[in-house]
This record gives sequence, structure tokens and C-alpha cells, in this order.
Amino acid sequence: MKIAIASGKGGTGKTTLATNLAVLCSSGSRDKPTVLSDLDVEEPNSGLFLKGETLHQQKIMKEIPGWIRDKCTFCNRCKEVCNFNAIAVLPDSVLVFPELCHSCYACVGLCPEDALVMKDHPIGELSHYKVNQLDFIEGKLNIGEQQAVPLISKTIDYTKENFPDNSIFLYDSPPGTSCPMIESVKEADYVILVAEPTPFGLHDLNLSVKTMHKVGKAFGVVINRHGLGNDDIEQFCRKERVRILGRIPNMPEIAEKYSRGELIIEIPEIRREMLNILTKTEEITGRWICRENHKTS
Amino acid sequence: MKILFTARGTDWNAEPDNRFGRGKYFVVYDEEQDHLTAHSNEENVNARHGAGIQAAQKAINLGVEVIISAELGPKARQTISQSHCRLYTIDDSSTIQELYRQYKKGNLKEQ
Repeated sequence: MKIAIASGKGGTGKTTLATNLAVLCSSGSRDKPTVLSDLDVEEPNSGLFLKGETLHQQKIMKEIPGWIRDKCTFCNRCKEVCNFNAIAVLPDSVLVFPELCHSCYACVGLCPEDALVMKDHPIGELSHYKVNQLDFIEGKLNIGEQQAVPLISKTIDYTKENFPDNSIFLYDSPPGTSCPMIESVKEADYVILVAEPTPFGLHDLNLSVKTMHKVGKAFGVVINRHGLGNDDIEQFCRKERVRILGRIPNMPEIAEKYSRGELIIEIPEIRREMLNILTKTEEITGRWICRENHKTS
Repeated sequence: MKILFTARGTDWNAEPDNRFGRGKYFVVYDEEQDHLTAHSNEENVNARHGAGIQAAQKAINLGVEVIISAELGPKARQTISQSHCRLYTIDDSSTIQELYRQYKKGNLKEQ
């Protein structure tokens, strides 16, 4: 079961929801791993709330063309075929801009002199931590790198290769509705969109709802900081027939805990609401997610 | 000396364009020949990525030794640094003719 936690707008509470749900899901579940992957690789912050032991760390590479001066005839072919303007052919050198390269191989494959060959270029780092029963995977993009998608994709690959298919996978997605967000939700069985009841929150929820329809994903909405602003979001969800999975209240205690890097499920009322969110998600998807929910039933 | 101006038009009365990579025209003045030529930069104006890099490549291939434009971005600058081109920043001149005068007087700031 793969659940992506996403939002159109940044700062609406994706990480808060993802980390708290992940800890709830993992507690008591020894037979079925719970894995949280922080795919917001440009600014991963789930790690601020989850302190654990490091199990594994590795550099993540992408392939970029390397130029072989002796073979080059400066024919300009590589520059012409590059769809991303990542190559400049100058009178006595060829420059490759790794940040713009999409590793498509066009220049390497079409160079008549074999003067370009693919080589590894580091783009970021992947870390795997164990936080009690929870496996927490974090992708972190190197400063200056412009493309998040290759790192997101490789972080997901690592997750899939290292855990059985029946695990509970939670993805903390990057904000927005562009390529990084699409990459992080594309394999999810279900998407939880987090929205806040503000004009920006509504505007960006609208964009993410449209995106979900376009990519054909089942999804529901969690309203964070509920009680703030007006009920436009509730009306929007009713009109668009979007299921509201839960409402996290706008409470000073939450802000206090957050600012100290603590989990908000320590507040009993929030823990209940988080469990409700998981129950509703289980009902909709027909899949078992959280043992905690089945303890008393 | 060949001097390149980024401009909104194609002659001496053209307004300087305050973008390099996406500047509308590259107007080149050849001082020895006393000849002005304008080159459309349309392919880079609408580029989705790397406009600065390609504009820099274009400037180098035009054989200019001086570029007078807005502040260049880091990738365009890196590309230009492979050549011997010198970079100057535009001032508030309203035409490239005026900009050229300011350049000759040594009033433009080198980038």
C-alpha cells in the first residue's frame, strides 16, 4: 500500500501529517514494515521530527555527458539535439551544464565522432534511518542542483527494492503540482492532499485536485489548521465531491510541539483525529493500514 | 573591435534590452568596418531552459570582443569566460547609440 501525502501549497502540513501517520502506522506493526520516504528532496524536513539510528547512506548519481576533446570536430550536432540547452559548443571547447541535463543520451547517441560519453555526476544523498519500528528514508538534493525528479525516482527505487510489496509506504511529497510532485504520487495507490483554509490554500488545493484528476489518482483531503479563515474549502470539497478525511484543528499546542520538533500525536485529541484519517483511508481503499486502529475493534 | 548590444530594435536608435539571454536582438557594431548588423535572438527569447548559455554561445560565435548588456547570469557568465569577451553593464541610456558613447567615454561598469 502506497500513500502519498501531497499539497499544492507549501507549508500546509504535509510533513506534520506524514511523520505522525507514519509513527502511528509503525507502532505495534512488527510483521509488516512501515516506511516513510521524504521525497521533498529540495528541502527534506521529516527528519526534524524523527530521530533514529542511521542504517545506510549513499550518494545518488545521475548520468551526464563528458566531453572527449581529442575526438571532437566541433560539428555542433550535440548542441542541436539537446532539448534542454545543456550544451554549448564554443570555438575551442564544449561545455556541458549538468544542472540542465536530463540524461536523455541524445547527444551521446548522435555524436558522429563518439566524442561524448556518459559519466556519473552526484546529485544528492539518500539516508536510511530506523526510528523505533519505522523505516525512514530521506533523499536530499545537493545545493545548486536544479532537478529533483531523478533523485525522487531513485529514492522511490531504493524504497521498493529494500522492502516487501506488502509494506505500508508513505511518501512525503514535494509541494506544488509540477514534475517533482507528479513523480512522487505517480505510483501511489492513494493520495492525501493537505490543505489549509486560507485563500491561497483553496487556490492551490483546486490546482492539486485538478492534477489528481488528470493523473487519475484516488485521493482525499485533510484540512489542517481547521478553524482558521472560513469554510470555503469545505464548500469546495462538497461541490467537487472530494472526500474530507479529517480536520486538524488550529491549536497553539500543535505549533508549540512542532517548534520543538515533537510529534503532535502526543496530544490525545490529535492522535484520535489521525487515527480517524487512517480509518477513513482504510475504508476508501479497502486496505489494512494501521494495527493501532484494530486493537480495540 | 566588435561590440554587441542587447537591444529591443535593430538600429542605432534601438532601446537597450535589459536581458541578456532573452534579449530581443543582438546588435553588433564593427568599429573597423563602421558597420552595424542586427541578429534576432528569437530562438532564445522563448527557450524553456538555458537561454543564457545559448545566447552566450551565439555571442561568442559572432566573434564579438565586447558585450554590453544587463548583468549576466552564472551559466551565461561561465560560457563567456571561455572566450576573451569583456562584459559591460548597460546604464540608463535610452538608445544603443548613447550607450556606445558612454562606453567610449569609459562610463560603463565592467561586469
